[in-house]
Amino acid sequence: MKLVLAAFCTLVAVPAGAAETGADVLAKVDQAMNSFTDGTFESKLLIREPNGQAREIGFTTYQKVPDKRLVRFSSPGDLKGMGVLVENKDTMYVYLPGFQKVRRVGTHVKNQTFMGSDFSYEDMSQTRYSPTYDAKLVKADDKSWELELTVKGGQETEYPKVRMWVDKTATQPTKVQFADAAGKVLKTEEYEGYHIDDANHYGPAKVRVTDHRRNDHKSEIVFIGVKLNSGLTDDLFTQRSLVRGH
Amino acid sequence: MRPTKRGLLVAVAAAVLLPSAAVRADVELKFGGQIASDIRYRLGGEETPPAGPNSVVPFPSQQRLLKYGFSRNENLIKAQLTLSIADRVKAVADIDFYWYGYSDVNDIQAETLHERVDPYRLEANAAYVDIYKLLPKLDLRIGRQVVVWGTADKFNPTNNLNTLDLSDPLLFGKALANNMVRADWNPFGDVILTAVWVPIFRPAQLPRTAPIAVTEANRPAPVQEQYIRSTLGAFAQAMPPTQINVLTMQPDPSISNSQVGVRLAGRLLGMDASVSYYHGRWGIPTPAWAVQKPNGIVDAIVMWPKMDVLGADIAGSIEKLKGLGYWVEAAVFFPQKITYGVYNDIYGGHDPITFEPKGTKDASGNEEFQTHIMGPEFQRGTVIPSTPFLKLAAGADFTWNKYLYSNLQYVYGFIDEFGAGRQCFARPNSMPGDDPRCEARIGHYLVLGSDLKLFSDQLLIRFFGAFKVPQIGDQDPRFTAVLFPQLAWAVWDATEISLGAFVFLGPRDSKFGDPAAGASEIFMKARFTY
Repeated sequence: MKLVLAAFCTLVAVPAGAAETGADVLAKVDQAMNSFTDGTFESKLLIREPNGQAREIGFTTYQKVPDKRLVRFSSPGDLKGMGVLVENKDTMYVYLPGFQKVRRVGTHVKNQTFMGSDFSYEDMSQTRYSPTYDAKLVKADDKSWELELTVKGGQETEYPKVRMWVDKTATQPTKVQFADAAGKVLKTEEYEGYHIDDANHYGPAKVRVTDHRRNDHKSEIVFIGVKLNSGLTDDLFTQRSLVRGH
Repeated sequence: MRPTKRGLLVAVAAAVLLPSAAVRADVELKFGGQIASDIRYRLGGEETPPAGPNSVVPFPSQQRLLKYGFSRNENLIKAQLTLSIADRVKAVADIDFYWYGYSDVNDIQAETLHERVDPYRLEANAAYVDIYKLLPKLDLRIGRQVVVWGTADKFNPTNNLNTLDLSDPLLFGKALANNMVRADWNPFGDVILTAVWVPIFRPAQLPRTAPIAVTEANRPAPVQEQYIRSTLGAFAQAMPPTQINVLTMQPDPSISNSQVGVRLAGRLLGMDASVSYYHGRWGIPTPAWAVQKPNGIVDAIVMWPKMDVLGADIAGSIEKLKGLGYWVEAAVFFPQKITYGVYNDIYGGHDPITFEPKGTKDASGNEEFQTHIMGPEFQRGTVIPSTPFLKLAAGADFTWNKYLYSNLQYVYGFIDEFGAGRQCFARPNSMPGDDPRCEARIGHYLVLGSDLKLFSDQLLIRFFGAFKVPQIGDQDPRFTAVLFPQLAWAVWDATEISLGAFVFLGPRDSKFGDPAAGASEIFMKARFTY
């Protein structure tokens, strides 16, 4: 992941026959996920309830690699106008139009679910695995790699163990299982419909998350529009911009 | 070929319409709003206004507050419109249209008028134009707006440009929009210098129970000096008022009554930090005169004190404590001194009642005075001393897991508290002139609560409370608090139903038990936001 925004990549040439280590593959995944300078992602979040109903949230994410992110919500009405600015991993702001106030929020909100979905704020803000995990290549075939990730010493994460299946064409994960220290799978992410979405970049059409701790509760993000490397400036990722709303 | 008349008309029409069509093509329009309903029931409050021959509002009226009865029966249609041209100009309108849900029919003529049979009101939360990059790095906003300063949660001592809507405790002191000119200059990085000018002062919106604070005959005189308070109390005991009229002295719309504010905000050691200055008025009126008239009628006059405020705040996140959010916000207030002018008009004149210091103190250490009725004038009682005073809010919040969020805040100086010195309450069942209970005007409070979110955030269980903490020097400290339990159910996208209560706890002579503060209510709300 962790995911979403990061699930856009270049057509990175992978030497299929090379003797690769898990670390090599993970580095390629990170590279592919962050191989653009900026991006605008218009998305739809679907939160599927056990009774079959689905709530829909519309939002646009502006991202400037590596850290800056601005999320603006467009629907439903009670979220419209709300914005979240992530300047870096320690600095986040929320703009609530009802209060007309930008509020600095502690990074504890990373533990919160993103609008009641199965995504967390941490999911929405982290795009590289290598700084957090050591990787072991457990399987490889013509089309995919299978990696086993273990949290590095000194790093803190909700998921100390991760298993990842990587598509060799996109150099992107197709499935990621997040587990606790005992290996119990807590959450699964699945990426579907990789396609060339912009100037030799791959991106998924959809990301689905299943939270096994919530009776296999499911959420998915459907990407409606993607624009990469359009030259977003730093001015966009400021508190003033958050208030302006455009 | 000679053009025909019709051809000319078409050409002219095209010339007029085409350029405007081209301009309008750049305008982006966003529309939104809310439809909401709010029904509340009052539990054990005091009747406002009291039924009786001297009641200002004719009896019976649906607009009365009963001890047990519906206190709100409101419907709202909110409309928000935003027009923008690229990233240069934005115009915003935000209008609330409320139907009270009470009739106000006190005679047969009123029953023929729509606005009395079904009263309504309009509230403009915003009507402004933003001009971005007017000069390099300079944005301008002109119009009706709210400028929110401060990093604390709800209790913002540095936030004084807009006065507060205190009419509804569930709004927690929502800022009232006012006509302003605001300029933001962003010279570099995160540094922003904001300057605001407010030409005309808008007073706070008071709760319907507020007049009780000045119309009850047994309330002690709002002065600091114990001797003067006792003397005025003795006068009230000797000549109990039969009717108290409360008049106001609004600030003139002059340039000298304009409000101004300046704030410098930026980043310091990883924290968000700002310093600010405000010159203007306190939004809640304070008593300043009392005129005794024949037949026991008293005219009380209130005014809005001027003040200067120096403020500072910080906010951040402590990573070693798992990202705990924190904030500290403080302001030093320099108030205008307000004295209590007391006049006796009973005998045909306008005789001042003033007090000459004796230079001695009583056994309790209170300064003693000689009372003078008629001239020459000596000292008046002090309502608001010019002594600077501090208000502060410091707190932290934390998300324990996907379901539970907690917030804890220490507040020194509640949103309606102003002035150094002490305030006094009439003890329950006391008579005019009886010994009141006094405590520091600026109080200590603990505000804490939690949100529990269940079923993919569709069900919110909220419990918040504010508790007053006694301090040294308070007479007979009282337990007093407000509690706010709420259950909110997001039944579908943008649709919410909520049930809850706002509970005032404490005896009559305490902060939240004072009937002027309001009464406990249970509520049911529904809203759809589009």
